[in-house]
Order: sequence, then C-alpha cells, then structure tokens
Amino acid sequence: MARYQDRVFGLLLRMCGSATEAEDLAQETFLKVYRSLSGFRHGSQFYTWLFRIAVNVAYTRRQQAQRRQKREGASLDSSQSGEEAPARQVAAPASSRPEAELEKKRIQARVQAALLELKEEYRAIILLKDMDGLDYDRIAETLDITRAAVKSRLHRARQELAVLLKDLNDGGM
Amino acid sequence: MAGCEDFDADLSAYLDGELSATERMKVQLHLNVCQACHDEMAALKRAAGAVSRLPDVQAPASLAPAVMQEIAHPSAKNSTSRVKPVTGGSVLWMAGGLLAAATVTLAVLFFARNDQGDHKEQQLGAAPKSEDTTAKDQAQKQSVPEKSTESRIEAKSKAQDPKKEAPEFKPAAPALGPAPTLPAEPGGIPEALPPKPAPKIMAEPQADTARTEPPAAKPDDPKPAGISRPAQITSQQGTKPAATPAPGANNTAQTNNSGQGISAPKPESAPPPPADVAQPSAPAKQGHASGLAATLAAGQLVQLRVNQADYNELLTRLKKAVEAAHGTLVAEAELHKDDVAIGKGPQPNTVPSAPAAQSPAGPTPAQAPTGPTPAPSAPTGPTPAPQKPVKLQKFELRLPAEGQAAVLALLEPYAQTNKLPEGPGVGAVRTPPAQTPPPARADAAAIQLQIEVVPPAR
Repeated sequence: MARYQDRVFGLLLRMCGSATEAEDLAQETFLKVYRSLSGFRHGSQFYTWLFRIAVNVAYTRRQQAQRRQKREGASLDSSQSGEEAPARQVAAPASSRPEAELEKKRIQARVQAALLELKEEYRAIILLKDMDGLDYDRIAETLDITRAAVKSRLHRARQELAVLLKDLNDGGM
Repeated sequence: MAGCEDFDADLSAYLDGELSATERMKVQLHLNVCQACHDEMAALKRAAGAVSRLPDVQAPASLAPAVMQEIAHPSAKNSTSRVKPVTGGSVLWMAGGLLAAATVTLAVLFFARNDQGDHKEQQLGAAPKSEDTTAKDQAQKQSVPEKSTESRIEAKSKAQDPKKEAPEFKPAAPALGPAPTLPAEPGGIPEALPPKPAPKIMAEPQADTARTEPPAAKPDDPKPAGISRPAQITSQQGTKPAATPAPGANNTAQTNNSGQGISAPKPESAPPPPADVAQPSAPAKQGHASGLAATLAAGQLVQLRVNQADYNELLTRLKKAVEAAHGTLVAEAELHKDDVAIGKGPQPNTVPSAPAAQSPAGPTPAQAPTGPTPAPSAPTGPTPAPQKPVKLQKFELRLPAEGQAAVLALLEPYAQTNKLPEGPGVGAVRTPPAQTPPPARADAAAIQLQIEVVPPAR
C-alpha cells in the first residue's frame, strides 16, 4: 500500500480536485483492492488493476456528486468551489521564490481547474498518460478500452485541455 | 498529399511516441508542410506538459492507518467517512424520518404499557380463579387418566371375555337369516320329477304329498295298494290280460272276478296279508265270508291261493289265529308241486287225508285232467294251468265254532272262488269228502284247508 498510495492519492486528487475527498477515495480504493485480491488476475500488472479500481471509485463518486448537484441545485456550485481549494492547497509544492512559487501555483491551479472542466473520461486518460506516464496499452487495459480508443480519446482530451489552457499558453506558460 | 484530418489522431500519438516509424515519418512530413497541424501539435504539447508538470503529491499519513483500521474494524469506516454536506432537502428528509420513528416508538410504548396494565389486572384479579382452574385442571388431568384406565380395563375385560361381546352380536345373527332361507318349493320340484317311491313322497309336506302321491291304481305301479283295494285291482286285471290264459281259465277268472272283485288269485300282486286283511270291500268280504262259511258248513275243502312270498307270513298268521281261536292245527301235509303240476297225486307219506292235487295251478283245479288221482268231481276238459303252483299245502284245522270267524276272516282274501255252476258256492273247488277226518271235538269242527302257493309274478 505504501508503494502505490502516493500515486493513487495523486490520481484521485487530480480526478476530484479535493485532498479530503481524494483521501476518502484512496481509502475506499485500497479497501476494495484488499477485498478483491482473490479476483486479481496475475496476468495483468498490479498497478494497472489498482488504477482501474481507483478510476472506477472516482467515477462512482463523481456520479453520486452529480446526482446530488442536480438535487441541490445552485448550492452545489459553491460547495464544489469550496472543495477545489483544499486540493490545490494539498498539491501546492513549496517554492524558493515566493513570486515564482505563486505563479507556479496559479498555473497549477489553472491546469487543475482545466482538468476538472474536462469530461471525466478525458481527465482520467490525460492523468493516466501525462501524470502517471502509462503507455497506450496500459491505459487501454486500465480503462478497459482499445488502443485506438485511447489514441483518439487522448487526442481529443488534449485538444480540449489545450483550448482551456490557451490563455495560459498565451500568457507565457 | 494527405489532409490534416488524416493526421489529427496521430498528432497526440506522435507526441507520445506511440506511432510506428512509418507513421511517425508521415506525420513529420505533414508537420513540416502544414502550419495548422504544427500549431496544434505545439498546443497539445503544452497541454500535456502542463499536466505532467503538476507536482507529485504525497498521500496523507492518515490514509494507511485509516485503511488498516477499516480492514480490522469495518464498522469504523462510518466514523472516518467523509463529511457529507448538509442541505435543506436532506434536513427535511431527516426530520421526516425522525418524526416517523418517534411516532412509531410512541405507539409501541403506548400499546406495550396497555398490555402490561391489562396483564397486571388479569393477574391480580384472576389470581384465585387461576388457582381454582389450576386445581380443576389438575383434577381433570387426574380423572382423565382414570377414565382412560377404566375404559382400558373394560376393553381389556371385553377382549378377554368374549361372552360379554356375544350379546351384541346376537341380534345380528337373525339378520343373517336362518339356514333354510330358500323357500321350500315342494310343489314345483315333485311336479317336474317322475313319481317317487312312497317313503320319499311321505317326506314331502302333506299338501304336496296329496298332490304328488301317485294314485295307487296306476297301471305301472309295480306294487299295488294291496288286497284291501279289490276294486282297483279288478280294474288292473281288466287292463292287464293274462300271460297265457287258457280259454277255460280265462272264463273262470272272469267269472270269478265278476261280481266278486277278489284279486287274491292274481299272483303278481299277491300282497302279504296285512293286518287289515279283513277290511276288503264290503261286498267282497261279505261274499267271501258267506262262501267260506257255506263251504265249511258243507264240509268241503277250503282252497286258498297265495303268493309264494306271502305264504310264510300267512302261515304264521294262520297259526296265531288258530291258537287265538283255541283251535288246533291237526295235520299238515305238502303235496309235491310236480305232482300237482303234472297231475300226480300227493305223496303217500305226506298227508294221508290229502287227495291228489286237485287244483294244480289253474283257478279250477278240478279241471286238471291228468291227475293220478283224479278227483271224482273234477270237471272234464283239459285245463292247462296258466301258472304252475310251487306247492300245495294241506292243513286240517279244528276250530271251535266261536273261533272260526277270525280264522275265516284271515283266509277269506286268499279263498279261491269256485266256479262250479252248480257248486254250493265260493271257496270250494271241489268238495272231497274227508276220508279220515280227525276226531273232532264236540265244540270243534274240522276244516280241510288246501293252500296253493304260486310263484311271484315276473
């Protein structure tokens, strides 16, 4: 668990944007892994199987949050905005230069915000590729999709993210 | 040249190094000539770089202990679960649920208290009653086994003593009906059956006997009613001609039967002399009695004809009658049948007083022409006997005057009718004078009796 907990927690943090929720999701993910060890197929890599469970747990929690948002209406927007702050805070690395550090944090926050604006599937595939460094085959295995689907989906996800970060790019990022 | 759309999906793959060398070459060539694709490639590279440059995060230190605690104590998960935001809708739902739960709890408590109160009241008020009922129940429980025991004993005794059960089955026995349930139909069966012998018919009921009893005068009846019915026998003789009747004999027989009705000479129907021999038809009895009396009065020979089967019994009855009449059987001589049949005279050593066979077989022994000692009064003319006598038995009886009637009554049925036209009467074939009459007593008269024994009819 110590070997994979940082990567799982980082993935879930980028997935949900909240360090508390990411911790809760990470806890649930590891409990499911522990309870599902008997069903693990030794032919696949363990981290692929672990990421798959983490992504599914994030998907399920996101769906529940979306249903809750539909019931609660506009009040959910404020709560979601409130949840993003801790994620950033958690993810905010220390910087030697405060100004540079602040700008970096602003960019990271902007990227995180752009990720959260992406569709969940696009977010997951970008995170699995650009953050966790999985190749297309492992991404396909983790998301249980084909390699071609990974290629096209990742391309579209990057296109959307590029659009979202256009101003950032234009800003000299 | 391929369009930008053909390399759109390959730009990210080109960036990630997921294309083959050929594909990579093609994309490189396209990027060199297509500024738009080159710009897009740069944008994708910046987006990917922005994500990749996101700082790595460390999982909180509480993550692993929380997971291990959750694995060790699953219930602790709820306490460590994330805090859910509380909204107005959820508050309303929670309030409604709490209200419903409180209502149900109050209702349960209310009914529980009522039940407890009622139960207490019942317990307090019905305490003695319950004791009584308990005592009664105990008594019933005790009595029930006693009853059951008694019933068991009764049943056992009944089973051991079948006599007790017998009265219960007695009424059922008549229901089964007596053994002769079949209605006796004595009339039907005898009607269908041929005539039965007398004993079997006598076993039948009286009414049926009268109906089924064959008439005694039946022509086929082998055993006629007897001499006591001379009229019937007379009719039988009329229907049954003689086997080999001689002309004269026939006439004699007809003459004898006519007006007399005596069937004694008929050998085939010669019955044993019954006790009621003296009960023939009144005219015959009177005629015979008067004939025998006249014969006796004339001192003539009394000739009888009797069936061989009935001879011994007649002889016995005769002896008894003589004794009863205080008479004596003086002499007894037997004439040989051959002598009689062929007309020979009697044996000299048999009966001295007995003449020669006077009436061998025919009804008129006097007609026998070839007798060794032809009777002086024998009528002329051959008279072949139709039935040879077995023997001739001659007796001499001495009977007092008062005892003659009973003896004559015994002999009357067997008396031969004398057909002598000028004869004195019945019973005497001829009237040979007694050559050596026994010394007669003063009160006794000598009677010469000759019995012709004939064989039974075939």
